[in-house]
Amino acid sequence: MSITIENVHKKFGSFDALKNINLTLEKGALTALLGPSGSGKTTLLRIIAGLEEPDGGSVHFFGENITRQPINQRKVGFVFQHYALFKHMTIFDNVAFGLNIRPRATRPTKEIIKEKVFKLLSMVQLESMAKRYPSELSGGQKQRVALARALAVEPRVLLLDEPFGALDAKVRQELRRWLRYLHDETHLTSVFVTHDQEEALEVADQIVILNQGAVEQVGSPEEVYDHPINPFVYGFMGHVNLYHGRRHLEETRASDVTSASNHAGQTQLFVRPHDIELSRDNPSGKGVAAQVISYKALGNRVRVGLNAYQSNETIEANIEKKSWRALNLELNDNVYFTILDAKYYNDENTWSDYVI
Amino acid sequence: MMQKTSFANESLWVKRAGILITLGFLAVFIVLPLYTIFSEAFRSGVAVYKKAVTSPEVLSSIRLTLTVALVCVPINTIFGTLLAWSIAKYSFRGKKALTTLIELPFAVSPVIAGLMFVLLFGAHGGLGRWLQSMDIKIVFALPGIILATTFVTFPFIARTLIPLMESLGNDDEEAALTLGASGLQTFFKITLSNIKWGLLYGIILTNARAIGEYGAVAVVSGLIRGETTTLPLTIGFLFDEYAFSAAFAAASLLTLLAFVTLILKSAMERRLKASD
Repeated sequence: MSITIENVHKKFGSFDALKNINLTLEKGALTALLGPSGSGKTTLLRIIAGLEEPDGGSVHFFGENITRQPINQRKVGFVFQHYALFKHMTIFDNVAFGLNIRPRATRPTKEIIKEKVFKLLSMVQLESMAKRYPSELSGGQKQRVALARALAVEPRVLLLDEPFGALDAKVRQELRRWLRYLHDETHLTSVFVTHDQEEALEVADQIVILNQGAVEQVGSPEEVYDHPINPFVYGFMGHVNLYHGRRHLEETRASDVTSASNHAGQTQLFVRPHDIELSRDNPSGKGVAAQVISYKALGNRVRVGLNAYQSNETIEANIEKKSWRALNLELNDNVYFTILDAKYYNDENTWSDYVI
Repeated sequence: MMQKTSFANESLWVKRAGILITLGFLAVFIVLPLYTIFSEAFRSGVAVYKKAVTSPEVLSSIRLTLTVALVCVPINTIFGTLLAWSIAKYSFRGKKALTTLIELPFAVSPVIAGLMFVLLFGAHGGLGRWLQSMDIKIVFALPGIILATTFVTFPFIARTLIPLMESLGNDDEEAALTLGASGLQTFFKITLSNIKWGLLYGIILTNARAIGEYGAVAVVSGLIRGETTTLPLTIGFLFDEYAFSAAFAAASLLTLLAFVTLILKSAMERRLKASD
C-alpha cells in the first residue's frame, strides 16, 4: 500500500499513452513495469515521479495524494537510462548535490555530507572515484553513481527508468544482481521500468505487465510466467519465442496437433520452444513427423527449425545440446516432435492448460 | 571509401592547382585588404596614427560603441537564453513560427531594420509623438542605436543555444529536480554549466556584430557627428572627407577587435566541441 495509482490516464496528442491505470504497489517491494516499447511503462514511471502530469486520476504515496505535488518536493529517487550525471561536477559533488542545494536551515553540515557521500560511495564500491569526473567512468560505474546520488536524499520511493538499458550484457547481469542485493539491504519501495522479461523475472518481487497503455497482468514472477492471463502475456514472457497455430479443441492428443486445422471450434495453441521434444523414431507414438530445416547452437542449447509434413507449418524447438548431439541430425533429416506442455486461450482470452 | 581513393589518385598538379587557386583567392580578397588597412593607417607615421586614434571624435565614438555593446550584449544574453530555453525545452503552439521569426533580423537588410525603428519611434508615428510629448528621445539618440543594434544582433545567442539545448535533452535538469533543486537552482547550477561554452560563443558573435554594425545604426542615429556616431560611422565620415590616415587608423582598431573576436571564437568552438 505504498504507491497507489487511481484511474490515471494520459494522452500525447491523440495517442493514448495510458488508459485508466489502477495499480497498487507494495511497500518495500521491488516492482517491475514490464512491457514493449510504446506500452506506457515509462510514462507511468514519470507520472509517479512527477516528471509528467496525468490528464486525470491520482497518485498516492503512503496514503497521501501527491498528484499535484511538484517533483522537487516528492522525495523520489530517480535513475535515468543514460545516467544523467552532472558532467561538470566530480563524483563526490554529484552524490552530494541533493544535500548541498538544501536551504541552510535543513542542510546537513559539511562533515555530515562528506560522511554520508562516502558511505554511499562505499556501498556502490566507488569510494576511490570520488575526485573523478563522470567522463572518466564506465557505464556501469556511472549508473552506480546515479543510484548513490538518488539515495543520498533518502527518497521515499526509488524509481529507475530502464536502468541497465544502455549497458552491455555482462555488466547488465552484474548490476541486476547487485540491484536485487541492494534492495534486500535497504527495503526501499522501488519501481523499475524494463522491456526485458528476463530482467523482470530475475530482479522483481512483483511484475506489472503493460501493453498499449493498459495493465495486462500483475503478479509475482512465478505467477506471470506460469499462469499468463492471456496470449499477450504468454508471448511476452516467453524465453525465446513461441509457436502458435490454429488447433481443434476436441482433439486433445498431441499427435493431432498439426492436423485438423480446418475444423470448427478453433483456438490458438501456445507452445514454448523448450517444451518440444525431438526423437528419431517416435517411441511414444505421439510424435508429429517433421523435417529439420535449420539449426543453430546458442550456448548450451540448440535452436531447431522444423517443418511439419502434414500441416506444412514451421515450428521452433529449443533443446539441450547433449540431446541434439545424441540425435545426430542433419539438415533435411526426418524427425518426430512431441509437445510436452502447451496452453490455449478461449475466446475470452482466459488461459487453460492443455492436457496431454 | 570510393571518394577517398578517387581523391588520392588525383594527379599531383590538380591538387597543387586547387590549393594555389584557393590561396590566390584568399590573398586577393582577405589578406590584401587587411594589409591595406594597416599600411594606410601607418602611412604617415606612428605619430599621425596616434593622433588620429586619440582625437576627440574617434574617442567619443569608441565610447559610444562600447556603451552600445555593453547594454546590447547583456540584453541579448538574457532574452536569447530565455528564448532558446523555451523553444528547446517546451513544446507549444506556434513554436515553429517562433523559431523562424528569430531569423528575421538576419533576413531583413539592416537599413530596413533601422527604418523600422525610425518609423515606430520617430515623429511620424503616434508612439513617437507621444514619446516626444513625454520628452523621451529614442530615435537619433542613444536609445535608438541600442534598440537597432539589439534587434540586428538578437539571433546569435538563440541560434547557438537552441540546437545545443535540444541535443542535451532534459535529463540533467530532471535529475536535479528529483533531487530537490528549485527551478532557479537547476538553471544556474546545471543548465548554465552545460551551455556555458555555447553561450560564450554566442556572446562573442553578438559583441562582434554590435561593435561593427553600420546600416541599421546609420539610419536610426541620424548621423549627428560626435554625438550619435559609433566607430563604424565615424570611419565612414573620415573616409568621405578624404582623411584617409585617420579613417584607416580608426578602421585598424575595429580590425584588431575582429581579430580578438576570431581568436576567442575559435577557442570557444574547440571548448564547445570538447564539451559535447
